[in-house]
Amino acid sequence: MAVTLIKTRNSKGDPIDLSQQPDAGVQILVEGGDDSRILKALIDHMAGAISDRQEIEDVNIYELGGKPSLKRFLPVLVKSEGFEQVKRIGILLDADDSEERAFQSVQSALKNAGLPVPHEPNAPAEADGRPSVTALILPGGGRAGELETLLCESFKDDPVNQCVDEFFECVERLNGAVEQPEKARVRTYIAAQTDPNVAAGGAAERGYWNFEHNAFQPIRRFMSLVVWGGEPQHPV
Amino acid sequence: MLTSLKIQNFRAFRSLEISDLGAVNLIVGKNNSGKTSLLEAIYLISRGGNASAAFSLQTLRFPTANSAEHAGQAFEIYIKHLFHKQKIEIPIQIEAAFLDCEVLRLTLKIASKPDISIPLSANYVQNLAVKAKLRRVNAEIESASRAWIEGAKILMDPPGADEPLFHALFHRSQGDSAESSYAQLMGELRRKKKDAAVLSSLKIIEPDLNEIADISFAGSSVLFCDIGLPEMVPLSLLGDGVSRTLRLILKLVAAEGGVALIDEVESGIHYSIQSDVWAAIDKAAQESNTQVFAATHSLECVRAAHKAINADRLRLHRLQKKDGEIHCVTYSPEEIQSVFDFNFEVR
Repeated sequence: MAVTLIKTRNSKGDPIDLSQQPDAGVQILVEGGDDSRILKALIDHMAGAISDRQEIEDVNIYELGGKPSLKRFLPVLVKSEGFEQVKRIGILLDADDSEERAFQSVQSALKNAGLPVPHEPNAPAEADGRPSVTALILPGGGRAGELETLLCESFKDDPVNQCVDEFFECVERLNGAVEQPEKARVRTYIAAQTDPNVAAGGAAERGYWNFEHNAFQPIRRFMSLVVWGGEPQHPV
Repeated sequence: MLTSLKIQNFRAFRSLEISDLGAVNLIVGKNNSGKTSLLEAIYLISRGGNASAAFSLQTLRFPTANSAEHAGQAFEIYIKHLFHKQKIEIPIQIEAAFLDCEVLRLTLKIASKPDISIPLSANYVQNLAVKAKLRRVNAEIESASRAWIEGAKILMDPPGADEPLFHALFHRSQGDSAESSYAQLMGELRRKKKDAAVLSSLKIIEPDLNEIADISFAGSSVLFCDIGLPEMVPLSLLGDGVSRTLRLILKLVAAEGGVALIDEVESGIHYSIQSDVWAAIDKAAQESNTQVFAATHSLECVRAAHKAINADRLRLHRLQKKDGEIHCVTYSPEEIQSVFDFNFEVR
């Protein structure tokens, strides 16, 4: 199984050509670079943990460059040569202010592209002759938030988190509430690691996130459904 | 203007449907995906029930095949290949719908020559003819004819060719016409006072151009251009980009009200002027009300056309093989923009 990260906007790389990737049966769409690198690291983690190694399709992870791009990206993905080999599609977006609104925008984009439309997050939609589609809106559970919400939950019990708390209490006493608190907390947590000069995606590649933590359960389920086509025989 | 096409049992197409045709249509696809065959199908239906059109196509693929010595041999090879998988027993069908709701349906089949009772046999193609039947669906009118080869001649029954239903002029990168024929074309447009569109379009890529004239030179008719020098300059000395573009635009304007069928449109045109060339093509097409079908291998060419031509006029059609059959995928103006925004391969 090969995992390929593909920048779609302002890309100077080779054009997207599914006909040159006959084994790329899985297509995952995410908002940005951190999302794609975290998912790749998670795939590596899950593939290593599954003792019953199966033949797994190659995976393409596309960085859309933002939620609004989804509606325009899907129709041309569907029309691209080689699309008939795609078996499963996964869409991973942040809820931001509303999970419901974000999920509805995904449903609308899928319907516009003629793809199966899931009725709820993290549950695949299937139709004859079409790839199955699974969409997950982070942090999940009907909540507002983003990927960083899950990351913060994953290091909540880490002793370093107490230092992060104290840091932000100090900052807020001086300057008031912090803009984008969860993104800021993630950066601060990374600053305490061996290589602080990375963003959340780079942190995943260095093993700074505990993918075993319960906070990642929605994403693990999502990846099981999309990459492995179901629950792995030996679940993580 | 054509709005849709349906082609059955013609060359590589068992059944190909293309809808949402625009004023300017780019045809892309891998080698042997049927780009040139698509252009040929449009040419065939433009000729209506004139069966000799099937033989005219031969000269577009095999320009030297019309000598008496080789005509029969070339025909034998060529005519079989008009039919999908060489199954000459299954008729070719081409259906075209137009903006004014007219629908034309052409059927081509192998028939026998008149007054010759020889059993139908694929081994004796020279004894066979091509029969064409055109039906104007809405008007319930039909016309039909048969055509066959005798030596180097194309004979027809009934004799005499009907006027084409609409103009359809082919332009190929290799130059299917002699230099003098372009000069004659220019002369004909001047006679009809329709040459202004040629000059105004070509000025987009050669702003110093003041006049184009067909002039008798060294015993032949040659195109000369006034670019502000003391004397007019032969077109061939202005560079490949200008001369190729002029030839293309001449055919486009001459196809007034009909279609221009352009193969390898990007050939010989440097990438830096392709947008200007497309602007010139589009201007000429609009002024002469000519619909354009242009086949290309070049992503730069597609990008240049997208940049130069209004979104509502341009369509992109990709021919691709799937499960052994050729299908067409058409991109709307918004999708063409998305192709470039997201860096998709479409050629």
